[in-house]
Amino acid sequence: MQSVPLLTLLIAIPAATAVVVALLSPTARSAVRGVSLLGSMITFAVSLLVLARFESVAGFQLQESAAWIPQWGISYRLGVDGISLFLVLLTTFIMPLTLLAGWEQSERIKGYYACLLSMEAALVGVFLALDLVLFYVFFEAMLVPMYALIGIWGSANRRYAAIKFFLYTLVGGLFMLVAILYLYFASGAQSFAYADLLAVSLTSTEQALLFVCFFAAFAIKVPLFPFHTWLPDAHTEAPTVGSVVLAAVMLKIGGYGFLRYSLPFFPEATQRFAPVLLALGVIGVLYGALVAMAQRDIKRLVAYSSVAHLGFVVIGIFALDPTGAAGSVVQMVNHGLSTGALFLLIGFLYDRTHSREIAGYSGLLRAVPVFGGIWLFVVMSSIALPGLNGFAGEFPILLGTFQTVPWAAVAAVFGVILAALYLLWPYQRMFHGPVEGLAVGLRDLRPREIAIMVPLVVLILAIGLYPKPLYDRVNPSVSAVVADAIQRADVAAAANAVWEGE
Amino acid sequence: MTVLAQVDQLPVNIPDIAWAAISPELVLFVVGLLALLLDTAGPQRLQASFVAFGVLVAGAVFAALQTGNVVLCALVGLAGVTQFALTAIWRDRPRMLSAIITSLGFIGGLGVTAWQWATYAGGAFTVSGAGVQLPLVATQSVIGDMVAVDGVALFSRFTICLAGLITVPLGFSYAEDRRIHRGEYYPLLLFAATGMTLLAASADLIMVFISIEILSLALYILTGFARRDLRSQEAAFKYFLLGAFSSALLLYGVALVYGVTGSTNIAEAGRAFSALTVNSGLTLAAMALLLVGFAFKTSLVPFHMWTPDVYQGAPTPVTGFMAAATKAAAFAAFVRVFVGGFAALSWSWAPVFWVIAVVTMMGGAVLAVVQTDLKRMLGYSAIAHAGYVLIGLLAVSRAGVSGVLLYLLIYALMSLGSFGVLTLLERRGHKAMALDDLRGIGRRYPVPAGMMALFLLSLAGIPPTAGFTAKFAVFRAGIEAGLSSLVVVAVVSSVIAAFFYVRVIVIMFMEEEPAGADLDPPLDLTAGPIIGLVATTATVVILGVFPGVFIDLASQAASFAG
Repeated sequence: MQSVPLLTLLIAIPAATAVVVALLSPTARSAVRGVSLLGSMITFAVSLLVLARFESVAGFQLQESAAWIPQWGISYRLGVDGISLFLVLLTTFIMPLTLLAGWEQSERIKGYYACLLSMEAALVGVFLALDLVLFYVFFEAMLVPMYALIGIWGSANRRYAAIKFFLYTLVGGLFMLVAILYLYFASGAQSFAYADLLAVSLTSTEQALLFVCFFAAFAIKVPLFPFHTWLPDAHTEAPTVGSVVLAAVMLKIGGYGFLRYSLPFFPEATQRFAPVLLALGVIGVLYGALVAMAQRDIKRLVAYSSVAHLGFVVIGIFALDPTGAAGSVVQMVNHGLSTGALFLLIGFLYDRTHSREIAGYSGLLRAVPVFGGIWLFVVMSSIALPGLNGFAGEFPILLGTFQTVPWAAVAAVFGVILAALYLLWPYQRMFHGPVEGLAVGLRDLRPREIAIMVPLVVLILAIGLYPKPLYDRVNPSVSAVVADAIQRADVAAAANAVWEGE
Repeated sequence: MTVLAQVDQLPVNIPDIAWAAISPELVLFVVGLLALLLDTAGPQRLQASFVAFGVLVAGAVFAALQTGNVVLCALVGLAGVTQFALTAIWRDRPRMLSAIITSLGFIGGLGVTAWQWATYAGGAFTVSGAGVQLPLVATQSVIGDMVAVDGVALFSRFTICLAGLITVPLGFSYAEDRRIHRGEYYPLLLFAATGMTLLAASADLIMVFISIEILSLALYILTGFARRDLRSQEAAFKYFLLGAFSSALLLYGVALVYGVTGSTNIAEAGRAFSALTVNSGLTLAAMALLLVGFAFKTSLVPFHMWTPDVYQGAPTPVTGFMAAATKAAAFAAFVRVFVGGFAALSWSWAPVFWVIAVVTMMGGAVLAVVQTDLKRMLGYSAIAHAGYVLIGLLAVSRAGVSGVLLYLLIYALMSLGSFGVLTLLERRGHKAMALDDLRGIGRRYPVPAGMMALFLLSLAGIPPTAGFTAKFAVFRAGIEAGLSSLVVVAVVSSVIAAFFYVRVIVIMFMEEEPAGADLDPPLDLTAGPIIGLVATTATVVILGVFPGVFIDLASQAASFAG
C-alpha cells in the first residue's frame, strides 16, 4: 500500500510548483497563475487521498522515513495522525482559494505565487515532520516567504510589521532549537526522531526549562497573550492572501505544537504550568475580545478576534481533558475556515474601496446583498451559532474544560458572549442603515469571488451540522496524547511524593 | 616514505625536510613567484616564461631523480608547459594571465591538499584503534617539529585555497574599474594564502609567529591597495599599527612560554605546562599574552577595534578574502594552541574565553545594528560570528573542533558571497555602499539582490541554508559540552543579528528606488563575478540542504591528529 509516498508529495508538489513558477517569464501572467493553481489543486487532491487512506486510530500513519544527515542523527521522517490530518487538509484546502483570491495581483506576480506555494510546502512540512530538526527546518523556512509576502506586497506600514513578525518568530524558534539539542543529548539516542526523543526521561527542572523553551516558540505562534503584539500588525499590513494564510494556517502551528510536543515531551511540566497557560488563555479570550471591540479598522478587529479564538484553543488543550483537546483541534480547523473567510471578504471589500474603516461604510447589505449575506453567515459561524462550525468546536472545549477546570470554562463563556458583541456591532454599523459613504455604487461579488467563498460556506455548514467525521478521526490520537500525558505526570508526581516522603 | 615514520627516525639536529608536508604552501608560493615574474617581465614576458619553464622542468627532473616519483615529475613538468602556453596566449593581457595563473595556483593548492588528505587520513584511521586516546589536535609533527600534518591543518588549507579561488574572479572587474589592478595584486594574494595555510599547520609557536607575519604583511599592502582612496590608506595604516602591536604581544607570550617550559613547540610546551605543579604567575601571563595576540587576529571583543575600519576601507574583494581566509587560518592556529597544546591548562583560559565569547557575540551583533555602511556592518557581523566559532572551541571536543572547521568553511563561503555581491554593486555607483544605496535594488536587479538575500539569510542562520548547518554544528557541540548558557547567549545574539541582516533585505526588496536611480549606470555583469557568485550560491544551498559530505570531512578532520 505504501508504494507512493503521499506525504512527501504533499510537500514536494507545492515546492516544485514554486520552482517552476519562479523560472517562468515574468510577463507570462496567465501561465504563472495557471501553473500555481494547478499545483495547489493537485496537492489538495493528494491530501484527499491521504484522508481516504487514513484510519481512525491513534498513532502515526502513512509513515515515511529516509536518512538525511545521519552524521548528526537527523532523518527525514513524515507521518500523519489525528492531530495533524485536518490541519494538513486545511492548508491544502485554503491554498487554492488564496491563490484565486490573489488572481488580480498586478505587481511582481511571479514572486507572489512562488512565495505562497513555498509557504504551503513548509506549512505542510511542519504538520507532517516527525523528526525534530526537520520540524525546526520547516518551522523557520516558512518564515521567509511569509516575511516577503508581508514586506513586499503589504500595505503602508508593511516593513515594520514584516521585521516584527520575523524577529518574534525567530526568537521563539531559536529557543526551541536549543531545547531540541538539549533533548537530543539528554536522550542519548543519537537521533532526533520524534519517537526516540519521546523516550527521554528528564528531571522536573529540566522539564520545566525545556517546556519554557518550546512554549516560547508556540506561544508566539498562537499567539498567546502577552506574546500577541506582532499579530495585529502583521495581519493589518499583510496583503489579503497573507492574512488568510497567517490566520487560517500559520497560527495553528502554536496549538499543534502544544499538542504534538509540549504535552508528550514534558507531561510533568505541562501539569505544573497548565494553570498559567489556562490563565493566559482566559486573558487572551477576554482581552482579545475587548480590544477587538475598540478597533476602528475592520481587519485589525478580526485580527484581535483571532487572539480571542485561539485563547479558546489553548484553554481546551491545557484543560487536559480529551474532549476539550479534541475540541481544540477541530476549533483550529474551524477558525481557519471562518477567519480565513472573513479575511477574504475584507480583502474583496478593500480591493474595491481601499478602505478598512468601519465608520466609512453603511448599508452594505442593501448595496451588495451577496457580499452582505455571506458576511453575516461567516460572522455567525465565528460567534459559534449552533448549527455552524464554530459551535461544533467551542462547545466541546467548554464541555471538557468544565469537567477539569470549571473556572476557566466559566471565564471563557464570557468570551463567547463578547464575541457576539464585537462581531455583530460592526456588522450592524457597516451593513445596516442607509446606503452611504463608500457603500454607494459598490459592485457586488464577481463570479470568481463567489467561487472562492462557496467551498468555505459549504464546509462551515457541513462541519456545523455533522462534525462526527472530524471527531472520529481526531479523537483517538488526541485522547491517547492527553491520557498519556496525564498518566505520566501522575507517575512522576507519585514518584516525587515517595521520594520526598523518605 | 611517510611523514609519520620519519619523525621517529630523526630525533636530532638537521631536520629532514618533509616537502610533502608543506606541499600546498610550496605550490602557492611558487605560483606567486611565477605570477610576480611574469608580471614584472613586461615585454619580455614570453622569454621570462621560457626561463620559468626551464627551471620547472629542471626541478621536475631533479625531483624524479631524487625521489623516483614519476607522477610528481610529470605534474611539475605539466605546470611548466601550462604556464608557458598560457603566457603565449595572453602575453598582451598581463592581468588576465595573472588571474588565470593565480586561479590555477589555488586549484593546485586544493589538489595537493586533497592528495595529502587521501594519504594521511587513511593512515591515521588505522593508528587510532579502540582504546587509543588520540589528542584532539596534532602533536606529532614534521620538519623539526615545526609543521603539523593533521585534519585541522588540511581542512583549513582547503577552506583557504577555496576562498582564494573564489576571490580571483569576484575581484577581477572591480580591480579593473577602480584602477587598482596592479601586478602585485595576485602575487600578494598568493603570498597571503601561503602564510595562512602555513599558520593553519604551525606546530611551533615560532612558526605561528612567522606565518602570521607572512600573511599580515601581504594583507597590509592589499588593504592599502587603493592608493587614491583615503579610507583604504587609513585602514592599511590602522591594520598595520594594531597588527604590529598584536604580533609583538604574541611574540612576548611565546617568549614567556619558552621561559616557563623551555620549548616553543606547542605540544612540548603543553606537556611541560601540564607537568607543572605550581601555577606560576608567569604561566598565566604567557596565556594572557597569547590569548590577546590571537584575539586580535580573530577579532574578538575587546580586541576587535581594527576590524570594522579595515573591512570598510580595504578594497571589497580583499575584504572578502580577509574575512573568509584569515579567520579560518587564525582559528586553526587558535585551536591547535589552546585546544591542542594547552588543553591541560583550560582552567586558566576557558573562563576567560567564556567571557570573551559572550561579549564578542553580543558586542558584534549590537554594534552592527547601528551601522549604515554595509561593509562596516558586515565587519561587525564577522565579529559576532567569531564569537559563535568560539563556542565550538570552548567545547574542547572532537565535535567542537569539527564544528569550528565546518563553521569556518561555511562562513568563508557566505562572506565571500556577500562581499562579492557588494563588489558588483559598488562597481555600479563607483562609491562605497551605504544601506540607503541598496534601496530598490531587488526590483531592478532581482538576481544579484536575491543572491545577497540568500547570503544574508544564511549569515542569520535560517534553514535550509549553509549558515544553519554551521550554527547547528557549533550549538550542538556546545550543548554536548555543557555550555548551554553560552548557546543561549548565542541565540540572543543571533536574533539581534537577524535584525540587521533582515533590514538589508527589507531595503533591497521592500523600499522604492530613490529618485534618479535611472541615471545610474547599469550593472556591468562580467563573467568573473557571475562565476564566483554562482559557485558560492550553489555551495551555500548545497551545504544547507545536503551537508552530509562536508560534515563527514570535518569530523574526519577532527579525528585524525597525525
